[in-house]
Amino acid sequence: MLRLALSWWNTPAYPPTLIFDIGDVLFTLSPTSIEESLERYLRNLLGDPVARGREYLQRNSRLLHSITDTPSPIILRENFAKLLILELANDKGLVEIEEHPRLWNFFRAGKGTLTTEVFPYDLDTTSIGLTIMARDEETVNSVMDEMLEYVDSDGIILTYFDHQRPRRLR
Amino acid sequence: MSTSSSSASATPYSSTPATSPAHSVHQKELPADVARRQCDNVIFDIGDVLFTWSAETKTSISGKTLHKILRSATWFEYEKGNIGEQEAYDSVAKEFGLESSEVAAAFQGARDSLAGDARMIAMLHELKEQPGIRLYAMSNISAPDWEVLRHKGRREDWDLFEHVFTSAAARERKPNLGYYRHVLAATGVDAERTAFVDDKLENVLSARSLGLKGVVFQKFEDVERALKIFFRDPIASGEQWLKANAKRMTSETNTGVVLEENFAQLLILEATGDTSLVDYIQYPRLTNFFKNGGVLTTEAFPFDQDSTSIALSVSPHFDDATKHSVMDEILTYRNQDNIVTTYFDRTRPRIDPVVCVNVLTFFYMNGRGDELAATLDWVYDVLKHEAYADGTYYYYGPDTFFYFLSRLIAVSPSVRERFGPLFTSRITKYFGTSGDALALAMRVLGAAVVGLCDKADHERLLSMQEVDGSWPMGWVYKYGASGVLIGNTGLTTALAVNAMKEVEALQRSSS
Repeated sequence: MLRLALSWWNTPAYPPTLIFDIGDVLFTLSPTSIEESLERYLRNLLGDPVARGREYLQRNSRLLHSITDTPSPIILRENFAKLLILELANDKGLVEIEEHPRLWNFFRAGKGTLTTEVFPYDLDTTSIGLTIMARDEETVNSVMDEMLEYVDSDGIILTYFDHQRPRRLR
Repeated sequence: MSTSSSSASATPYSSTPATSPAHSVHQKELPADVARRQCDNVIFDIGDVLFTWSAETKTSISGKTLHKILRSATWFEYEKGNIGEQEAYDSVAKEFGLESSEVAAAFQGARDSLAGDARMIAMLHELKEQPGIRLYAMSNISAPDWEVLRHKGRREDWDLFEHVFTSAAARERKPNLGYYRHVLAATGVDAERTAFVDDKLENVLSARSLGLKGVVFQKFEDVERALKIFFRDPIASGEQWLKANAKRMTSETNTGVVLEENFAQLLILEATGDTSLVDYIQYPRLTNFFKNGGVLTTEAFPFDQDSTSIALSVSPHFDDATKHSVMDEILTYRNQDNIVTTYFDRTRPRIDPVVCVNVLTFFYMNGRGDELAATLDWVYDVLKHEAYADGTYYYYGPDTFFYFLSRLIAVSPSVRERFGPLFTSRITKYFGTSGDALALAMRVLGAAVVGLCDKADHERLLSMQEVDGSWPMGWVYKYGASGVLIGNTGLTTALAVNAMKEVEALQRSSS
C-alpha cells in the first residue's frame, strides 16, 4: 500500500515539495507551479483519470449545460453539446435529449438566447443529430435532399435552413 | 536523428550555421526586406478597416438595426449589384418595418460619417515604398456607396492600390469563394505570397482557405505588426536592431531593475560573433556575473564557475595555460557527491544542473570532460527524469536547460552519442508548448543541434517579432534566494535571429 506525505515544506525559493514513498522507493515531487493546488496535483498523480471523469459525469447527469463567456455567464439550453456528450459517453441517462424527428435546432425549443428569438433549424445540428440518433433511412435521405437546396453560389453548403441567413458561419 | 547537423560543424558552439552566407555582404546586395520577406502583395478591406464610419445616425433607426440591415440577405443582393439603391431601401424598410425615406436618410448619415484611418493609410504608403509591393483593395460595397467613398478618399490614397475590387462589379461578395477567385485571377498574384486584411473572421477564413495569408483586423497595432512580419526579412531586421542597440543591451529584472552583468553579454557575443555589439569585463582569469559588484544581492559577489566557464569558452582573450589552470581550480570546488558547485566560495556550496552543463562544455571543449564524470552522470539523470520541468535554482524554465545542454552536445561527440536520443525525446515533448520569446528561441536552437526542426515554435517566434525588429524580452536566470527573474532583450533577439537562421538551414538541407 501507499504511504503518503512523510513531510512537505514551503520555502520562498522552492515550490511546495512533497516527499512520499511507495514501498521502498522514495519520490520527491513538486507541483508545476506554486499556484497549482497540492490537492489537485496529488489527485491527478494518484487517481484514475477515467474513473474520476466518469464519476463526475454521473454526479452531474442531466446538469451538463453549456455556458457563455459573457461577464455574467448565461446557461444555454442547447442540443448540440448534449448530442456530443451522448455520442462520447454512450449513456442516455446522462443527458436529456429533446427529440427532433427530422431537422434539428441548436437551441432547445428553437428559442434563441443572445440571438434572434425564433432561431432557424440548422444543417450543423441536424447533421450531428442524424449521425448520433438512430433514424430511418427514408428520413435521412429526405433531409439530405433538403440540405442540397441550401448551397451558395460556389456550391458550398450553408449553415441555416433559412435563405434569409445565407451564412457559412454561425 | 542526425549526428552531423549543420550547427555541429565548423564553429561548434556558435549557433550560426557554417553554411549561411556572410550576412553583412548579403545585406548590401539586396534591400534589407526583400530577401526573406514572405509576401509581395496585400489585399485590403475598406469598410471598418481603411475607412471607419458611425452607425449612430440622426434618424429613428438605431445603430443596432442598421447593422442588422447590413447583415440581411437583401443588403447582400444590393452589394452584389443584383438590386438598385432605391429597391434595396424599399425592401429593407418593408422587412424591418421602417419608412424607406428613413432608411435612405440613415445611410446618408452613415456615408457622411465616413472617415479614412490616417494611421492605416500612412502605414500603407510606407509599405508601398518597398520595391515590388502591390496593393489591392477588395470590398463588399454597392456601386452607389463606392461612388460616394471614391470621392471621399484622397486621390493619392486611392492611387496606393493597383485596383479596387468591389462586390458590385464582381457580382459576388465576401466570404463567397467566387469573389476571391475572381480577384486572384484578375490580379494574377500568387495567393501564398499575398496578405489579406479584413475585420471579419469569416472573410479571412475564406481567404486562408485559398492560400492567402489572412490577418483579422481588430486594432491597428496588430495589423501593423502582422504586416511587418509578412513584408520584411526577420533576420535582417533583427540584426539591424542588434547593431542599433550595440553595447546598450543591459539585462533587467522582473522588478524593473537594470543590471550591468557580463553573462548575457558573453552569450550575445557567442550568438552573433560580433564583439562590437557587447560590453563586458575581460577578466584575466575568473569571471564575475556582475560588472560592478552585486545588485539585489551581496555587494561583494563571489566569482562563479558558470560565468567563468562561459567567458573561457566564448571570449577570445584567454590563453590555454589560463584555461587549464582555471579547470584545475574548478575541480577543487566539488561537493561530497563529486558534483561541481557554482561559486568559487566554499561557504556557498550550491549545485545547479545548468551550471554543471556550462562547466562541462568548457571542459569538453578543452579535452578534459572525462574529469567530471560524476557531474555528467547527474546531468544525464536530470534529463532522464525531467528534473528541469520547473527550471532550476538559477535558471528560468525548462528551455534554458535544453539550450545549454545542446551547446554541450554540439561540442562533444561522446556526449552527443550518449545524450542525443534521450535529449531528442525530451525536447520534442515541449514543441508547441508555452514559452516566452527566449524560451522558444532556445527550444528551436536546442532542437536544431540534434537535427530537429521545431516548426511550431519557429512559427510562433516569427509572429512575436516587434515592429522595431527586436523580440520581446524573455527570462534567462533568477536570483536563487528571492526568485527575482532576469531577462535581456538583446539576448532574446540574438538567439531568435539564430533560431531563424537554423530553421532556414534545416529547411534548405531537407529540400
